[in-house]
Amino acid sequence: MTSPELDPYDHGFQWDPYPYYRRLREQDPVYFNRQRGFWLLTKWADVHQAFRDFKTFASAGAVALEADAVDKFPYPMFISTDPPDHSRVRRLFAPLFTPEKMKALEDYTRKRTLEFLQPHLSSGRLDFVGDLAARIPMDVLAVLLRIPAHEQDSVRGFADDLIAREDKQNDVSPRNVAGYMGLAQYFERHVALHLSTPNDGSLLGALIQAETEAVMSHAEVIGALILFAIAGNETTTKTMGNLALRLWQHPRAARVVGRRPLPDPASRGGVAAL
Amino acid sequence: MKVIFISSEGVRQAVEVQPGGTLMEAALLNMVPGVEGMCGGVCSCATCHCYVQAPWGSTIDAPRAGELEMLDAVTHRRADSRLGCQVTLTEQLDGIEVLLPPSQG
Ligand code: HEM
Ligand code: FES
Repeated sequence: MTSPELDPYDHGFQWDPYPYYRRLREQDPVYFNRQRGFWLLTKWADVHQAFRDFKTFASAGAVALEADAVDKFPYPMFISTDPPDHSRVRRLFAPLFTPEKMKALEDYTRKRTLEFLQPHLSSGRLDFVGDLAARIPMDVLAVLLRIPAHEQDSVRGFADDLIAREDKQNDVSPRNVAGYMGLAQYFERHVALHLSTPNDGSLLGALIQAETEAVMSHAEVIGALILFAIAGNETTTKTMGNLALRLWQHPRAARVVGRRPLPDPASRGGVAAL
Repeated sequence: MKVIFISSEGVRQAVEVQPGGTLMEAALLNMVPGVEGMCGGVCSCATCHCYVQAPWGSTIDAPRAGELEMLDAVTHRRADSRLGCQVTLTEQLDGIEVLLPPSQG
């Protein structure tokens, strides 16, 4: 059967991938892209089965579309590992991401969101992504990784450079490499700086303790920090940006959200301003 | 060490694991049907729900507040309900028998 053409590097595809997915689901649910050499599963049951069967569907060397992308970089990231290596690392983090721990971060996130909105209330104008959606995730991540306020913009800049993709760009670019090196050098310095401070219960503290106790190698620790800097920023900023776009496109939904009671009365002013 | 999972229909599956992991991991590493572990073990999805019966129940640490709160939301709650990701496997638990609920969620 001939499959519909799909170029994952095409911004046109990325802007609205759903018609492609729908067509594949109907015509070729286990799709192989010959040109790029990757498989795409589009049915829930197949995806679920692939997640469970980690021996057949391994993560090592396989989390990027480009088969050799991971080998190009010197610091291994646990996202592209399989058990037992993956379990060893995840076990270290599990106690730091429980609902109780997240509640404290949630309160912090609400407080910081208001502080980011405050300066814009008087003018009534806000660049939703630049002033808020790009800054909140980095600010929260900074708590986990103990990144001082004045260094956040540069860490976020490196992370943006690392994942930026021009239309149809199908390999790592010099900008991507520069972002990677920027993050690597930053976290090398950051770990060195905190190496002798006691574990304060933060994610950085857990990583450094893991290195000291030889549960993780130094390269794995730096790789994990780079991974968090990308994974924590990019995803959440885009989710918030998309949320704002959708609310703007659907004013009725926006009014419903605006009417919802908020746990903190002070945040109502912020939402109303948005 | 050995962990024995028993489905709600009574099908037994014994798996061999290293101590130090959790009950949820023991199930997932061996693709035991009926355990999902969606959140990866951070006590926030309750899809690793299981029953740890006597005498094993008394040999493991009691659930903490966060686990009990999550257990309040599961469908097939029992007095011996646990979240598998919150039970760490030690050598003393070699041979532990774990019953699985009819469904997760
Ligand atoms: C809307 C927000 C987010 C989305 C959509 C998202 C999506 C994803 C996806 C699809 C994966 C791959 C899962 C897999 O390979 O099975 C992943 C992994 C990961 N994400 Fe996120 N993520 C989000 C937020 C975050 C945040 C805020 C952080 C950090 C604070 C983070 C850290 C990670 C890490 C460390 C991994 C690797 C996990 C592992 O291999 O065990 N993500 N994320
Ligand atoms: S795996 Fe999610 S609560 Fe246990």
